[in-house]
Amino acid sequence: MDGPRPHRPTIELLESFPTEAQVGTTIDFTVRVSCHEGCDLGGGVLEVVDADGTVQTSQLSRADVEEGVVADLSVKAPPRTGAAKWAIGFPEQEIGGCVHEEGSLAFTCEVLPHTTSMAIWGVPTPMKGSRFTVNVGIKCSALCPLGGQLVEIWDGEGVKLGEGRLGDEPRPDTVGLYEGEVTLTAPDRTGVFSASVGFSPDELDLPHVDTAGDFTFRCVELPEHTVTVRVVHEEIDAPLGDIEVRLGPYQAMTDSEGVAGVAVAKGTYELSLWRIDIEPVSMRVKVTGDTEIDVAAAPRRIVDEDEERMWM
Amino acid sequence: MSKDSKKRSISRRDFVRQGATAGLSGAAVVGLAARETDEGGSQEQWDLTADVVIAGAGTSGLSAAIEAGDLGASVIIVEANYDCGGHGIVSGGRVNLGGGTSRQRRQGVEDSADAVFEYWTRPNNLQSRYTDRDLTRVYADLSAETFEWMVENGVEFLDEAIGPDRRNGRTVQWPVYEELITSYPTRLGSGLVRALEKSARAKGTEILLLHRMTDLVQEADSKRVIGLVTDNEGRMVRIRANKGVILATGGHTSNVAFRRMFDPRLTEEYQTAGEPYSEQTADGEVAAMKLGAALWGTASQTMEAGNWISKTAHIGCQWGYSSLWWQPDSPIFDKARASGLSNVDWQNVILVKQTGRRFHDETDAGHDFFAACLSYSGDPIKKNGGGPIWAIFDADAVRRQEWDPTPPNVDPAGYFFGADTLTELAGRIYNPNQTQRMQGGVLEQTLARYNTFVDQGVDADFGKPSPRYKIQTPPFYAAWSTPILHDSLCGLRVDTRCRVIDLEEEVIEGLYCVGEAMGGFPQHGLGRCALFGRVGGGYAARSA
Repeated sequence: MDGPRPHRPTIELLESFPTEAQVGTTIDFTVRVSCHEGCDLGGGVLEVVDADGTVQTSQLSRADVEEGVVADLSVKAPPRTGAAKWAIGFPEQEIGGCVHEEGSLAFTCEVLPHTTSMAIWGVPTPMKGSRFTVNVGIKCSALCPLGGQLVEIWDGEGVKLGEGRLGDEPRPDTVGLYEGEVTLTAPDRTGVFSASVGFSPDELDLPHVDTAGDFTFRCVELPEHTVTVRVVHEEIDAPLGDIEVRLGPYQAMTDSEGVAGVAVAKGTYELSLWRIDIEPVSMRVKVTGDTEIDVAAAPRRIVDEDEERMWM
Repeated sequence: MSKDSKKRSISRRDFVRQGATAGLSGAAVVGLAARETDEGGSQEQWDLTADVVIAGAGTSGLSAAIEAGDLGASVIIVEANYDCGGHGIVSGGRVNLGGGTSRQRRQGVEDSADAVFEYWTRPNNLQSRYTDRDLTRVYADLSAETFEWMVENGVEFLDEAIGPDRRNGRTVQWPVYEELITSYPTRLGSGLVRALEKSARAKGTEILLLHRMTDLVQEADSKRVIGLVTDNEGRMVRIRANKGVILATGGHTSNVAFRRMFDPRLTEEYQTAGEPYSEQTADGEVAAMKLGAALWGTASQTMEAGNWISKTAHIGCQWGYSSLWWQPDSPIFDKARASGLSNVDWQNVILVKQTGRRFHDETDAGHDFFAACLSYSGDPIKKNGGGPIWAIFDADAVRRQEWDPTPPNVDPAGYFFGADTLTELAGRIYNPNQTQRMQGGVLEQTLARYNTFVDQGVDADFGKPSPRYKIQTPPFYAAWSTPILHDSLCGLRVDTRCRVIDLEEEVIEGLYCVGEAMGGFPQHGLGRCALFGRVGGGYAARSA
């Protein structure tokens, strides 16, 4: 004589499973299992099976939905790219005195490599033929440690200009940006030059996408003279330190005495001073030898737009 | 109305903290419910009655109330906000009134009403070219008198006569800290508004807060406006006006649909000066237009002169109008959320649209700049409006500017982002008005090109003068820098008594309009609001 007919469970995802995920990342999701006969399936068992056949067991515990019980689950994307498949299995089990048939649900996801992004900074204005350094930072989208990885710099014609290794610790004030220095030799002529930085990660545990970036630098003549600029407060004749002094591409900062010595080549330049709290100063200067220049800087006027437009 | 309703049992700051259902409004509602009247004898059921009913307790509404009260009229003001003041209380307190004021005389300035009229009707100036000559004559004739009237009503002015016309000057900030909306010393308009409020209350004006005007009421046969309807937190309140209703609702810049009638580009992404305290919702214009009222002086709204739009001065926050600098001690800082990064030297940043591309010389602040901001953003779906504008800068800029890019200086909830690389930064930018994701590759290209311009000393794309600093050092930042709308420069058509005129060029009896909701005299500042408020209040009180 036949016994009672087993109940049939239904398994469904409560939200859509991502179609793409990066290698090694954890994917959280929630499933609901319900019984057509209205049984409370709390305490039931679920099995999550990945492509390698690894089985992870979870218990149905949250009965806070109107129909069925739910389980919060997570799977880890495999360490290789391509399509990945998982299956959720509800093995045949007796719950509440009733036998429930087995059921399953399969879902897939395209697994992608980690992406990397780059920052290039500290690019100076080198003198022609001189050695200079450039800072390169690389960051993995999943914050993988990138210490020791190689970065390379080429010119526009594919000639390698230099290379460097990323440091073992992320740069301070960043979250996972690994920094390295690359030393280059400036061309033996003046002008603006471009270069490219390439990053092709090697021997990392997980696959990563290459990244690249471009930068330019201006190469200047060797300085022959020193222009000594002394900056004082226009109203009280006090020296002003930390003022950025520029003569064309050449620059220096004033010291506590308000003095900056700017090494420049012969030529005519725009002398400009800048600090956030002073009015910008600009003047033309012809340099034929060592020169001293005194400049009075005024406090910066904070402009209120109402003030400028108040009359109408 | 119960006298108790006027008492301030809690401070304004307590009121804000406790919410709109506590304090003043609760008392006011009880008072209204206890006194239903129908003194006019009509079939309408009125909750309250006064000779003059004014919508809006800003500068123009309070001025109208004082003038009407001085002429013996009973006055009720309905105000949508939880407190008085409108834009005026968060303004710089600049009052343009001349023609020979005592302030001018002390400063040795000779002036006359005729000189004021001539100045405001010059054809060679965009802002005076389109003024209504009849209204300008009223302004000229009452300018000096109105200044002295304000002083008599308790407004204190700094002793100055500034601006190219030397008719301008600022009020003294209100001394009661608890009655300020913005932080000391950013907004002097509090001195003007609180003084007028105090005077109006002393002269018997009832001010009903949290009462937003929703409709005007016309007499069936005569079409005369005899009252208005307000929404008091979901409760309808009908107020009868024996002599007149005055619309002093304060312009239209916060009403996207309304402002786009004049300029289709002004879509929802543009911030508005005065917000989040005071919105210019066009309630007055809309209610009057339902009765057939005409608009006036619309050329002034689109002339591309004056203060209808301005550049963001405090970046990385939602509300960044130059002299309205929200600080954490403001009672509404929970709405403003951040103060912004200020004192921006535009050499330290570049501005990009939501695509990540530059669009103009960042150091420009003229109408060419705004035209570029409002130009087509490249979004094939939303073709109007220029979309969000983001200031992009780096750690070096933060150091030079001496900024602290953390809350409450910046608002990470959609208006400020930071990241270690440009690609990462682009991926993080989201905002309700960002209709497409910024692509990291595009932003990288933009910065690489700009940095080349710094090396070359020439901005080959937009002519930024001597681009000074590369943007290269992590972390990188994106700060909300979308332009700000300010003045309403047109509004309802009125005659020289501030009576509203319809499309048949007939007066709508019983209806007046003053301040920024009226058209024909597009002046920036508070002088026109106070002056025409007096005009409307006076004529309404004197009407039969």
